[in-house]
Amino acid sequence: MEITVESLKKITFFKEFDSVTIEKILKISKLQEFDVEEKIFDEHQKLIDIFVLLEGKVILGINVPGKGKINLGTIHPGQLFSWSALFPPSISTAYAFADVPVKVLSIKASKIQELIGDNDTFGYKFMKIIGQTLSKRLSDTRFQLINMASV
Amino acid sequence: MPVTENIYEPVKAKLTNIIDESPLIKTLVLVPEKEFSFKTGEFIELTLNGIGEAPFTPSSSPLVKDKLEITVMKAGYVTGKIHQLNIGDVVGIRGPFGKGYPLEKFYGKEVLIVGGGCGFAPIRSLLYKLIAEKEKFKKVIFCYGSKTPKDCIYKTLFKELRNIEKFQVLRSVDMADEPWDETIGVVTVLLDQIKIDINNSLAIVCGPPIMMKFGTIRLLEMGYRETDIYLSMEKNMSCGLGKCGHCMLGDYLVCKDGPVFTYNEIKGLPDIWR
Amino acid sequence: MTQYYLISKENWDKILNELLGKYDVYAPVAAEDNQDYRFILQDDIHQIIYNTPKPATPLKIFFLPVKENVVKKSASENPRLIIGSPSCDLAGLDLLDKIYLEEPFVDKFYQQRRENTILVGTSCFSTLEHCHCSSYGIKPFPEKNHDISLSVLDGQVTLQINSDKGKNFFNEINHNNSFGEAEKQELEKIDTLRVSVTKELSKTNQGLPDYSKTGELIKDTKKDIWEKYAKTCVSCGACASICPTCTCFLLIDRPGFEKIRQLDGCQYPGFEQVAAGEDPLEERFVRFRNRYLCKYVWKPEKYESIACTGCGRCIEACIGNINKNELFRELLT
Repeated sequence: MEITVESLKKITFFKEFDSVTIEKILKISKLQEFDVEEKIFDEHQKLIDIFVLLEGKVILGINVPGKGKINLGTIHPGQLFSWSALFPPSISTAYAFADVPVKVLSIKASKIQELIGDNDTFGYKFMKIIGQTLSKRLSDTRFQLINMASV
Repeated sequence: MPVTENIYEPVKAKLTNIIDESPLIKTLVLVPEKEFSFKTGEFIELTLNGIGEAPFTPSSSPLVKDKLEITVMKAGYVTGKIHQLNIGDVVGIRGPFGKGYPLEKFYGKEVLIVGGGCGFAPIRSLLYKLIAEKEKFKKVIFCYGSKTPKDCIYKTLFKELRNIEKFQVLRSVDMADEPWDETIGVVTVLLDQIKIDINNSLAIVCGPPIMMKFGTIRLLEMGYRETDIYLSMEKNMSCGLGKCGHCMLGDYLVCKDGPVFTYNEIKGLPDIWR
Repeated sequence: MTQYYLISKENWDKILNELLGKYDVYAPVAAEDNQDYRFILQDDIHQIIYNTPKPATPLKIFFLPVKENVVKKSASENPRLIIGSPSCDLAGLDLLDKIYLEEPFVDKFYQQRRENTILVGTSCFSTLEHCHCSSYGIKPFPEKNHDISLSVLDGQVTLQINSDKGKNFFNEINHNNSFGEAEKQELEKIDTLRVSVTKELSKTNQGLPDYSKTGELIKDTKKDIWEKYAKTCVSCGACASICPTCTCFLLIDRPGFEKIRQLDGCQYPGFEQVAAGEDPLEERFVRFRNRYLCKYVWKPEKYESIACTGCGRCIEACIGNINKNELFRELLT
C-alpha cells in the first residue's frame, strides 16, 4: 500500500488541509502495520507518534484494578488516536491494540509541533481538528458514563 | 381506528409464544380474537387481567394481520408481571393509538435509524415495513447500541438485514464483556462511520431518554434539520385516547399527537429529555 | 329562537313535583356551611336555592363521576334535570366536550349523560368569595352549554329557552299552558341584577390579569415564584378535584378485563411517572406549576378553549391557603 497525497485527501482527518500541507505531513509520517491482537501502545506509556487509522479496527481500553482490561472504545478508519503524544508529558491515557490487521499512518509528534510553530494557520487548523475530536469523544464518554452508571 | 365500540374495553388476545431476547427483554406473540391491524409506530395498551395496563409499540410487521408481537423490557410492576406470563394466557389489547411514522415523507430519501436498548422494538416493525417497500427508499442505515453484547436483542435479524440490498447495519456496545467484533462505545460513535447525504436524509431516533438526548444533539451537529429528526417520546401513556392527561407534553398529548414527534415540534417544551 | 316564559314560584314547585318520578332532579340546597347539589325529593323542593353562585360540587361530576366502571356497562340512567348550574361551570363544559366527544374516540358514557341531561342554568344574583368569572370573559349568567336559563324574582320564575332540547322540555312541562310570556318589565329587573353582579365582580377582581394575559405571564416564569407559592402545597389534589375543567383520570384494572375510570390529578406524586421510574413531575413545585401551565397555556392552545372559568373553588379548597390570583397579581407587578 502506497500512501499518496491523493489517498490521504479522502480521509476525514485530512479534509481541511491543502495538498501542500498534506505533503508536509506525509514527509514526517510513515505507514505502520499491526497484526491481530498486536499492541500498538500501552496505557501510561511515553508516546512519540500520533496515529490516523487507515484500515482495520483498533480497540482502546484501560486496566481496572480488580477487573483487568476493560475495552472502552473503537477507532475506525479515518479517525485519530494517540493524541496525547502532542501534549507533554505525552503519556498515553489508554491502551490500544489491533482488533483485526490494521494499517495506520504514524506522524511524528515532535515534527508536528515544529510545523505548528512555523505556521500559525496550520497550527490553528490542526489543533481545531484535535479539539473537535476530543470534544466529541468527551461527549460520547459522558453518554457512556451515564449508561454504565444506570445498569 | 379502535376495534371495540367502547373505547375503554380491551380485545382479548392469546399469548402463543414467548421469546427471550435478553436477560431483561422478552417478546410476546399475541393472537387477538378480532383482526387487529396497525400502522408502524402506532402503539397499543396491553391489559393484564385485573392487574394493570401498559403501552407498547408492536415490534412485528404491520403487514401481518392475524398476530402481533410486543417486546417488553422488565422495568416496573406491570412489565414485571408481563414477564411472568405463560404461553396460553389471555391478555387484553386496546388500540392502536397515536400516529405512526409518516413513511410517505421518507420516500426517495436516505433513512438513518438510531436505536438503543428496547427502542429496537418499534424500529423492528419499521424495518419490516421498509424492507417490504425498499424500492421506495434510497438507502437505510441502522445504527444500534446496547449496553453489552448480551443486551443486544433480535440477534438473528441483523444477519438478515446485512443481506438486504440498500440496508447497512452498524452495532455498538458500551462495554464488551464477551467477544464482540463490532464497535465498542456509545451509539453516537457509529454516526462518525456512516456515509450519508444529510440534505436528502432524515433520522429516526428511538431508545432510552439518555440516548435520545445525546443522539439528537449529535445529529444536529452533523447538520440534520430539526424537522428531519423523528423522536419516539416515552411518556406514561394510560388511556391512549387523549383524555386521561398522564402523557401531557406541553400542549401535546403524546398518546394522540405522538408518540413520534420531530425535534422541531417539541424542542421548546420544558424538560423534554426527562 | 330565544323565548321567555313566566310562572309563579308556587306553580313551578308543583311542576317540579310532577317531574320527580320521570327525571332524576338535582338542584342546590343550602347546608350549614355551604351550598351544594342534592338529589331532590318531594320534601326538598321548597329548599332549592335559586340564582345562587357555584354549588360546592363542580358540574363535571354529573358527567364524569369520580369513579366509574367503564367496561361493565351500567343500566341506562334515568333522564336527568340539573337545576341551578352557574355559568362558570357551564362554560367549563366547552373543554370537556372537546376532550370526551372528540372523534374517533368518543366516550359513550360521557356522551350518553350529556344527551340525557337537561341543564337549567342560573343567573348569579350574588357572588361568593373568590368568584372571578368575569375576569376571564365569562358573564355571571348562562350564555352557553345549557338548555334553559332560570331566574326567580319576586315570587315569579322566568325561563329563557336556549336550545331545542330546552324547547321540547318546556313543551312537556307546559302541557296545561300554565306558563305565560315574560313581560319586558320582568326581563329588565333580571338585567339590572345581572349588571350589578357584573359590576361587583369587576370591582372585587380589579387588577387581576385576564385569561390570555395570565397565560403569557406564567409561560416563561422563573422557578422561584412557583417554589414560593408551592411551599404550603401538600399535593392533596383538592384544587384539581374541585375544578370544573380538571378531568384527568386513571384507569384501574379489575378482574374480568374491567376498567375503573377514576378521577386523578397532576398534583399527586407519580402522575407522570414511567415504568423505568423517571418522573418529569417529581418535584412538588413542578407539579404545582404544571397545573397552571396546563390551564392557561397548553389547554387553550390545544383545544382553543378556556380551561379556567374563574369559579375560585381551588382557592377555597386549598389546605395550604394558596391563592393563585395572588400569584398572578405578583407576576404582574
